[in-house]
Amino acid sequence: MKRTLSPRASFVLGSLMAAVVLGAPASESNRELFEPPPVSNAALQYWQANHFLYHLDAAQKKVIEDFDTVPLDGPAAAVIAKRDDLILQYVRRGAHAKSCDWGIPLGEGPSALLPQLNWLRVLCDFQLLCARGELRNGNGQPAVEDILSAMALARNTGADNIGVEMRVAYALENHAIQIAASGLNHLKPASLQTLQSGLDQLPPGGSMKRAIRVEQYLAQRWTIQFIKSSPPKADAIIKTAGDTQEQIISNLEKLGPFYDQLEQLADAPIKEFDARFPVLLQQFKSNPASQLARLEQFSLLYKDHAATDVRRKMLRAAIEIIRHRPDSVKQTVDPGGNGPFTYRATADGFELRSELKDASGAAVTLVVGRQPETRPGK
Amino acid sequence: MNDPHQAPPSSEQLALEAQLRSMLPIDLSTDSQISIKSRLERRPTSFHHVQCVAAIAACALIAMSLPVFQHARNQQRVTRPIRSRYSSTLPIDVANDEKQFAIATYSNALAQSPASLNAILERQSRKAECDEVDDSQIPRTGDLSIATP
Repeated sequence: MKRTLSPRASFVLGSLMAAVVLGAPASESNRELFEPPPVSNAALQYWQANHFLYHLDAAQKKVIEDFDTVPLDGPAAAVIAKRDDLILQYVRRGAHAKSCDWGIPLGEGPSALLPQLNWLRVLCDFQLLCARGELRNGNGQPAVEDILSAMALARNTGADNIGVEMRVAYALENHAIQIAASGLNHLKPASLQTLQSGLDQLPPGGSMKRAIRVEQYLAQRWTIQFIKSSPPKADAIIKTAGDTQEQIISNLEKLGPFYDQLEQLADAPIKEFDARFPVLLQQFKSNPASQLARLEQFSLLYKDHAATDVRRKMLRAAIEIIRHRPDSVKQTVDPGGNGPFTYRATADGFELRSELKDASGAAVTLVVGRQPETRPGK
Repeated sequence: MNDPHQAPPSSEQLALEAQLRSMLPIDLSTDSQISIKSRLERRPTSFHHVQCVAAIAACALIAMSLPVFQHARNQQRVTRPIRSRYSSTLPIDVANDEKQFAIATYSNALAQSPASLNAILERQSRKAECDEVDDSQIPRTGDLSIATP
C-alpha cells in the first residue's frame, strides 16, 4: 500500500527543511574565525631579531659600530649583504607593535641587568648601515623604511622608563636622525613624504617624568627595603649615608620633595632647567643620602633628552626646508634658544644649528647632505 | 551388608581375616572391602584420563606445527636477539653512562700518556670557565651615568 503524507504533514516537514537550509548560513556567519592578534610587545620581536645576529663575527660587529663613517665598499658591503630578511621583518614588526615591555625585574633594584642594551645598539646601527647602502644606491624608499624602523627601535629601547635605557635610546635615535639627514636632500618627494608621516607614527618611547619616578623608587623605596631586610649587607650604605639604620632611612625619606620638584622640571625649557636644577641640588646637598641617590645624574638624563628633542625638531625643519624653501627655517623654534634654528648652506646641502650645547659642550647641529666629521654628542 | 544366602566363613577364613587385621592398618570390614573393590573397578576410568591427556597433547603438537604457529615462533626467534642487544645499550641511566664514558676516556688517556690526560683536564677546566656567566659588561638599572654609544 502506497503511503502519502497529508497536506498538513507536508507543510510541517517542508518548513523544517527550509529552516535547516536557511539557518545554515546564519550559523556559519556567527562562528568566530581565528584572526592572528596584532604584535603587542615589540621587545619580543627584537629578541627574535637578535637571535639572527649570531653569525656576525667581531670584525663585522666593528664595521657596524662604525656604521656612520665606514666606507660602504669592501667589508661593509659584505656585512650589509649578511642582513637576513628575517632580521628586517622582526625589526619592522617591532616598529609597529602596540607597546614594548623588556620585562626588567625592577624589584632587584639598581643591580638589575639590562642585557638588551648591548645588542640593541648593534641591531639599530646594522639597520642604519643598511640604510646608508640603500641611500648610496638611490633606493630612497627602503632607506627611509630602515631609518624609521631604527628610530622606532631606539624609542622602544627606553620604553621601560629606566634612566639608563632612556639615555641609550636617545643616543640611538640621534644615530638614526643623522643618517636620515645625511641623505635627506637626495630623497624623492614621495620618500620625503613617507619619512615625514613616519615620524608622526613613531612609538612615544620613555617619559622623563616616569623615569624620575623609577629612579626615585630605586633610590628611596628599594634602598629602604634593602636596608630593612638585609642589615649586614647594608652596613656599607649606612656608613656613607648615615650613622644608624634609622637615620639613613629617615634621610632617604627626606629626599621625596627633590623628586617632586624634579618632575616639574622634566618638561621645562633647557634654560629654566639650567637655572633651577643647581639650586635644587643645593637644597638637598646637606642630606647625606643625596650622595647615595646620586641626584646630580639627572642632569645627564635631562641634557640627552633635551638634545634629542632639538634634533627631532631639526629633522622635521630640514624636511620642510627641502620640500619648500630655505626661508621656512624662519618659522622654526629652537628649544635651546629664543629664535629659529640657524641655517647655513654647505657644498653638499646645509646645516641647522641650535643654541643648545650637547654633553660635549658643542652646539647641537644637524648636517644635511653628508656625514658629519663627529658623531652627534661625541 | 551381609548376604543371607552366603555360607558362613570357615574357621580358616576367620583366622586368616584375624591375621590380616593385625597386619594391616586399615579396617577390612565389609564396607572397606566394597570400597576397595569399587576403586579397583574404577581403575579403567583413570586410564581413560591418561588417554585424554595424551590425545590433547598430540593435538597440541599437531597444532603447533600449523603455519600460523610456525610464523609466531619464527617472529620470536627474530625479535628476541634484537631486544636483548638493544636492552644492553639503552640509555636507561644517562648519568651512569657518562660516568662510565669519563672513566673510559681517562683510562685510555692514561694508557697513552699522562700528557694526553692533562690535555683532557685542561679542556674540561676551560669549558668550566666558559660556563660561568660574565655579566661585568652588561649595563644595570643603576648605571645612569653610563657612557652612551
